[in-house]
Amino acid sequence: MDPYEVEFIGENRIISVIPNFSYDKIYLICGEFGPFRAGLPINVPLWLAMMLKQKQKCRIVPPDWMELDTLENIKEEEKRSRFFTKMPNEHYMVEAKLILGAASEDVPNAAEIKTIIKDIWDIRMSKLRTSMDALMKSGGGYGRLDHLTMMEINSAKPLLPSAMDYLLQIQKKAQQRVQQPSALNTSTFSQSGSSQNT
Amino acid sequence: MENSGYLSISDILVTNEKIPCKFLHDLPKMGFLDPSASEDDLKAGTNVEIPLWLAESLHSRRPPLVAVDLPKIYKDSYREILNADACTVDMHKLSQYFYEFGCYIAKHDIKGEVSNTLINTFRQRFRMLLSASVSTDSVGAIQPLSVSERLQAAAAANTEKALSEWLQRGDSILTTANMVANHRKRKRAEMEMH
Amino acid sequence: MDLTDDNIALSEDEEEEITAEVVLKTLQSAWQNERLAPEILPHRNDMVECMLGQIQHMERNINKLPKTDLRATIHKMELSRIKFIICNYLKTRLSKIEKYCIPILNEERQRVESGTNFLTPMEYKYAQEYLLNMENHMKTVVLDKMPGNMQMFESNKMAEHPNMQSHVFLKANETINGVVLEDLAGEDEEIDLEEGSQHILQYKPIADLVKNGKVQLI
Repeated sequence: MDPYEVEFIGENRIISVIPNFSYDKIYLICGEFGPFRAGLPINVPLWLAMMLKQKQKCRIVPPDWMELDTLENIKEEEKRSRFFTKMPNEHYMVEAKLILGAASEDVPNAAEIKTIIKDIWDIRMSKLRTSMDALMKSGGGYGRLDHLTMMEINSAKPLLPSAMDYLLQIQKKAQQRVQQPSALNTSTFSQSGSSQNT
Repeated sequence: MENSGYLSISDILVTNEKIPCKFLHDLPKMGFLDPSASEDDLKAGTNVEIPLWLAESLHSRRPPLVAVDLPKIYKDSYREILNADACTVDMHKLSQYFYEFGCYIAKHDIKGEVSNTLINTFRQRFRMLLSASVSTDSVGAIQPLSVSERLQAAAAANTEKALSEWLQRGDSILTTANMVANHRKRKRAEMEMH
Repeated sequence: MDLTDDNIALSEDEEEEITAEVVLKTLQSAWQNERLAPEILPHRNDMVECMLGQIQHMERNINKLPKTDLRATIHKMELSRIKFIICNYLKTRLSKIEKYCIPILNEERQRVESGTNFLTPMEYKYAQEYLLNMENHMKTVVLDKMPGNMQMFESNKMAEHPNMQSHVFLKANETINGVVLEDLAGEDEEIDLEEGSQHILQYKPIADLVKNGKVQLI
């Protein structure tokens, strides 16, 4: 998938905005939102928040996690842990990119926050590469990937699944043929499902 | 390899790779197969490298006309190198279709070690694909890869490119300054990981 | 002002009432699965039809609003997003139908008999005509110029099959125990998919779980 398609999916997340206009409830297909009261926070889908922001109809309320201390803790935890830690939400990078891109004036310490989120992203991406390598070395048939967000998983495509497909093909083709003559030593490497590359 | 079959161009290229064979019978008028021979007839015992598709059909005759030997990249000496550190081998120079050709070769390997080497080699070299996809020197990183490895690395590099474009687009005016700052941080973050 | 029928009947003969919101969620997950599964999945034409009706209804109401009305802009934006999902969903299915035309038709013939068809009637017709066109084209361009014994259109040799053993990423919507991963060495391995956990594994052993909604491809 293209990153923009993942972004599109992430844009369904609900975030809070403070409108500068008043309107009754609006009945969208994805749910009802409102009533809008100028100056009072209200929950809307991220795509709607971005649209209102671009039309200068609202201020964005930064999500709880978009705050220096919280992010600093997440970053430390991510560095310390061998595994992927649980992120504030499944689309943290989409939220961060859109909110900090279109509404950085609504986020206190936006510049520092941007840097620290990028740091977290980079730590995780580097960890992802290490895990992919470990997965291939330890078996290459199965892996568990808890807490990876959709954008991160998407970044492993097509490389990881196609390498696993390719490995399976080599195993099938090369080993089947060896098995034909007499019973020879064939499988020192089993295609193990025990790799726990979280 | 994925679409290996009669109509697959890559399979045709793979099966055109040469394999050392020893002729088991005298073959009249076939001397041209041996570039070093001056006679018209091919003598039993002659060693010649012929394309795999030909070797397979000569080998499968009853009685077989040729005995098939392993190409050197699949022999003990290379296998030792590959099993020790497959990433040092320049597949582009030594064996462009290492895995695909190897799958055919494996059945001529009576000891059954070729298939393990193929699997082990791909597993080890996966990290070269990983680093080629994020390398700034993409030409240099892709150079030692086999044909199929190159395809996989190129696909991974496309993903990487799309992702970094996504990350940069729509960013605020601070972009340039931040990117410089981030770049330094990124390096540090990577070092901390290892 | 209410632009939607909040509760819409799924179809005349079905008793079950379902909200537009649920229809949209179902459609979105069907789209995502279709994008990421190697094979064609059972169609969700009920959801598509229902959503198209909803869109039409909504568009009529939007036209009653002044053009500059903010609400009209918001509704239009949402409709564009939904139309994108529907178009992309249908296009993804069509491209699979074209690519794997021969095996899909072979399997679909049996499924039609048992009433478990994966394709909509329109898609089925499209697949049949596509194969016919391909065959005719192949005949006029190549086969008719071949020697008599080579003029047969051998559809089984032309067939391209989806790779059911390709690896996919998934998230478990509920806990599923005892998914069997085949091992080439013959040592099959059983794994449990806990609710909310994420995995990469071969498509084949979890194909049914995708179809019955127990896992979501990601």
